[in-house]
Amino acid sequence: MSLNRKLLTISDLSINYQSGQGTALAVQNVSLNMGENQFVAVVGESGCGKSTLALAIIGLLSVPPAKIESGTIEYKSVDLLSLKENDRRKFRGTEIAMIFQEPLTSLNPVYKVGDQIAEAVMIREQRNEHPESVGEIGVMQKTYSSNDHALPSKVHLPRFSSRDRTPTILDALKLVRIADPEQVIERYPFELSGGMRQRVMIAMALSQKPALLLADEPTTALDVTTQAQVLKLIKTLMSEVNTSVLLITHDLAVASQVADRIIVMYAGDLVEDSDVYELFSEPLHPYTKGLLSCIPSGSKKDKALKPIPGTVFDLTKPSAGCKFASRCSRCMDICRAKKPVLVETKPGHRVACFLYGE
Amino acid sequence: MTTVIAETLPYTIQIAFFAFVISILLGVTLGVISARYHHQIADKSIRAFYLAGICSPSFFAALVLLIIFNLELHLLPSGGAVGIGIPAPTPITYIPILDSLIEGNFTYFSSALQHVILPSLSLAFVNFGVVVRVLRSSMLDVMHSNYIRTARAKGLDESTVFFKHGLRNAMISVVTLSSILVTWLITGTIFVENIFAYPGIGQYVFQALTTQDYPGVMATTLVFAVIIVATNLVADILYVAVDPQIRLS
Amino acid sequence: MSPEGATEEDGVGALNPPPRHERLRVVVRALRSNKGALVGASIVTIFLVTALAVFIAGLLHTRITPYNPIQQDVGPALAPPSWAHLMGTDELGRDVFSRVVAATPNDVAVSLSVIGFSLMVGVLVGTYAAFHGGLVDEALMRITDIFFAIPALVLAMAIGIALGPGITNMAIALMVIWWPPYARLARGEALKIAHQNYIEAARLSGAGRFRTILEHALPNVSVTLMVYASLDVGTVILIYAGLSYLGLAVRPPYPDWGQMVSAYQDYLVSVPWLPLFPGLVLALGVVGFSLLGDGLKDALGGL
Repeated sequence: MSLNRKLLTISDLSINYQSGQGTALAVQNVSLNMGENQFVAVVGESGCGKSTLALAIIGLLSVPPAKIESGTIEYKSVDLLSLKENDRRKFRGTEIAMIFQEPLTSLNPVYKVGDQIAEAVMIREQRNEHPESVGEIGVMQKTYSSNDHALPSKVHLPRFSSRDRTPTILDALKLVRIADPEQVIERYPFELSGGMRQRVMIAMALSQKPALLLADEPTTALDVTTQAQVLKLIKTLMSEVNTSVLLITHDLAVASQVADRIIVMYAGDLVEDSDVYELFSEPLHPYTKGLLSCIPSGSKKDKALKPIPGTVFDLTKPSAGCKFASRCSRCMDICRAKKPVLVETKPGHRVACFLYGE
Repeated sequence: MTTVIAETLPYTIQIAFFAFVISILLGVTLGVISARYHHQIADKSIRAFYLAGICSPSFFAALVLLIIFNLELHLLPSGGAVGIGIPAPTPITYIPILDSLIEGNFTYFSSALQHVILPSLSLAFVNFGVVVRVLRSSMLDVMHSNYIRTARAKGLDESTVFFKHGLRNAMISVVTLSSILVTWLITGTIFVENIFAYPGIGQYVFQALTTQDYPGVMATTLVFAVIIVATNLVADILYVAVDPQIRLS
Repeated sequence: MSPEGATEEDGVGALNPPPRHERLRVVVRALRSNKGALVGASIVTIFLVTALAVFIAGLLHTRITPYNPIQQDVGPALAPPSWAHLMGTDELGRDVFSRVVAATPNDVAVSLSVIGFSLMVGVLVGTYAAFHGGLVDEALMRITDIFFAIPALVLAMAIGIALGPGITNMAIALMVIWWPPYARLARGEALKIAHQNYIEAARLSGAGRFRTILEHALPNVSVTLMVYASLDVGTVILIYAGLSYLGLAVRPPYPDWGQMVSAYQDYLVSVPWLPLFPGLVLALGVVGFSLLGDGLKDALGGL
């Protein structure tokens, strides 16, 4: 396992949204790294930019309202943002896959589940068969020649029927621990339960053997028991399938159960980035501390939950200082005047707060 | 009464069939283009075109087409179901055009086809606009769904996403529309068959009206209504076949 | 307690309808910027003004048309359009333009009265059904189902034939079959707001049930119905034109657009413009109302 090989490097990424109310700075100067076989969770309240970040990575941002103002997203040393849409598309599915929050509406209602997975498998097969030998993508191939993720060129639609792929599809469903896959492939999405559908989505995504799986609040729409099951499944699969996972969630407790590393975002800023144990034992940023104290737990039974005072930052209003300043119990004068930058207080632990240096 | 219906109904079915096919083909094609280029020139021109259609009375459209294609261009015949003196095909399905095709009687078939085009086109011109509107609206809705986002996330190219995932779902709304469309088409034959002297049920109703044979008209109108309701039911059954959610629940 | 001034603190909920004059201004502004709507509005205005003018002239025993529409031999028969006869003459030497203009009140009056009737009856029946439920509601649903399966023309024909031909009878036949969709629509809208807070509040303040509906539900219900009605006017015109073409409405020598197309059709080969003129005017009228209706729909969609 090569922990030093960077799978994903995001540098100074800024994304804006144009709306009737003005320009919202959805993501501001975010930089992060991810390696292979890592489970990273991006945690934050709704509107903090975490979903926007994920969509930008896979390239599914609606570009008229959204706009990538600056920064780079490097995947396996390829600058994704410099690619034309057609080339960018070739990374979707088989390199970077994504699963979404609502599994019912995220699956096509008129096709059987098996056929939808077959489609994913088909794309994988096509790209395996026609690896590009020139260009940036070719460079990547040489750097990662030992790995399984071959890169695609033109995607031709083959005439194979989904029957040829049944074993692969059944394997994918078994991988996500679905008990009777032969039955399930004949079902339509509305016939399955929420948990089953999410498993199907995971199976479909993983059947394309991506190196990076983005999971945008995959369990939020599910009941608590199913939530735990699905998360545990994703974690287990990560090692079985050799895929890194970037989990987007608002639930720090959930993230802590499965992630190796946690990145905390607030109002478009990356405020803390650390190993999960370190985050819980030594949280640095006041916002992180606030989030931790919001987690209900058995040991705090008789105490009232401590919510973070104030309201969420308005992204359309620019601020000179730290965005959390108005809600921060440790706010200093400098916090209102200047924006804190990320500093690495310990190897592997970054924080953007004036409490810990300039 | 029943002999009259037996003699005239097949011809009305012929017109209704071709009118339906043209309406759907034209409507879906233009609807897709309108959706794909929505708010651009193509969309606006298509809207102007179908607006002219749905705002015209069917008899007006029929007359205009007759003038253009028969009187001016001499391309198509002005009346009747088939050219004079061409032998009729043997009744197999009792629908002449179909019978001639099965039999291989291509003289009849081609003549019958030429005679059915203008009436069908008149009806289609007046009705296809609704198909365009419905499909366009449905496509625009569908393309914003989550499953379209998933299809793109899988790495599919945009045209596969648009047609295989988008259009397939949008078509459901057109299928629902079909039963109403057919009833409008059949109703329109009252006018169109008269103008093109096409021997169908619509023309029979019209004759009864002009001779002021009102009891006859009442009877025919009732039969007409029954046929329409029956077509409605058939179309509703077909709808079930198309949408898996209805079928299985 | 007036819901219009109520706020969140009053516990009434934020779902108050905006004041009526404010809405009107927004609508007019939106309409003015929509080119299609402006074209539609101009066409509709021309038709309405013409209809009114012809009607008033008739009452005053005079006319605004260049010639008497039923007078024969004001020119040579079947003459092509000229400055003397803008749309030519028909087989009896009557001026076609005068006839077309003179026929305007027919279609306009029928369509507006049918729509007006449907709106009134529809709103009353629909909101009543929504708030009272029970038999009235059931009956309404069944009636609309039946009427839905059979096209308007066929229904109108059946009733019209039973009543006998003539413009008034056709108008009545149309009114009878036209109101159910309005009632259904009104019922749907009324159901949506029946449970909204401000209705509950008004009821609690002691207003009677029906009065509650009329005062508070009507404004919102009306919006949807007005949009539907504006798009529907064109449809009535087309159906009435069809009935007229079939000879069930105004009979010769009096002019009526549909009937004129049917009569002049026989001369198509020699004088093709003859049946086209009344047909074109019909289509134009429908286009006008459709454009206006679409514009209204877009403008009100913002609410």
